[in-house]
Amino acid sequence: MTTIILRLYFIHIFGWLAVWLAMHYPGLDLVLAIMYLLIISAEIRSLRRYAKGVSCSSFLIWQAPGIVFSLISSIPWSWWGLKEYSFFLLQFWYTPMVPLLSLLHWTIAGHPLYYYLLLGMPLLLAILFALLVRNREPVPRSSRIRYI
Amino acid sequence: MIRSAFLQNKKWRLWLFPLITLLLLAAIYWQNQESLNNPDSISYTYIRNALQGKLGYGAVGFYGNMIDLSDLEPGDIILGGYPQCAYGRFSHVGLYAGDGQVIEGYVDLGITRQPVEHYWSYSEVCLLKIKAPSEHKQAAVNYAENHLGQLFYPVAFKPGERIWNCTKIVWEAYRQQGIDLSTRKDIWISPDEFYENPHGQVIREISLP
Repeated sequence: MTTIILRLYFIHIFGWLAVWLAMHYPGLDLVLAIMYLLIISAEIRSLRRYAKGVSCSSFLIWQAPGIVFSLISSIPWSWWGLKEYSFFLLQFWYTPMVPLLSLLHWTIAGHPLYYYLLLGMPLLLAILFALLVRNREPVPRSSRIRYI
Repeated sequence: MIRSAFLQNKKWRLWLFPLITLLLLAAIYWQNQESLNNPDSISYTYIRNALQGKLGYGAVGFYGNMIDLSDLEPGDIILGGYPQCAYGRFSHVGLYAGDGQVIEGYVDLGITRQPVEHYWSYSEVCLLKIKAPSEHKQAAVNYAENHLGQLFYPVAFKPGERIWNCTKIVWEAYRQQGIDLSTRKDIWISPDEFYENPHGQVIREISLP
């Protein structure tokens, strides 16, 4: 399980750096953000061959920073600007998604749509995770046990 | 087919972003050698301040500078800062839009319109008039207004019109009118640059101890 988690963090942190640096070349950031989503989806899909407990724990540990920052940002009060800094960190953590979020310009109840999507990003990724690992990897026909 | 083969390769999935990161670092450094080697650049200022324990906005609070805002005109710039700010003297910028409203950027609000009075909370505040015809100033305000609701990202680079921070939206609004408020040829822009810029003229400023 440690290898799975380290792998997810490695891809996420370098995806973070690559997408951030690509913002220097507008347009390339969008390409890399889509690439990040495809790679992460492929990684999540590869978790299908592990037991449910292992894949769910790996996902939760990988998303732990996002979950913590999202929860702190959602509380209705703030101590010493903790809530504001937490939202900053939430946005930094989800930098690979930022170029895609920047395409949305709608404002709802005084906040831009990206604000709500960032707060809900751990949940959105959990839905993606649930959809991608839902079907267990099929056993190849050649390896099936035949009863004669 | 190619995409699927590429995505199924575990090694590729692991090493693609580190490789792209290195290429982008090299490209950005190659394009901006002058500014990145300059010890006065914004990047070095941030690192120096962080090493001195100055992080983020600094000591946020209500300092009550009560600066006179009554003679602001559309297109004027307002700078605000707190003690121990990592970005320099000022951490925040707004573009006065008229009717007591200022266009500015916040991480949770994006590019937004807010009442100007909140600048009374800063310990450092400065009102700047840009030396330009009023139609250019109004055009700058209109440009910023057209970007209301767009995304704020604290470390937004100068290029692009999709990802903003509070300084970049004001800089770009004036740059579109042929007025460059950035004195340093850096990859980022900081609020202090507006204060130092020859296009700007200080109306008044307050610095609380």
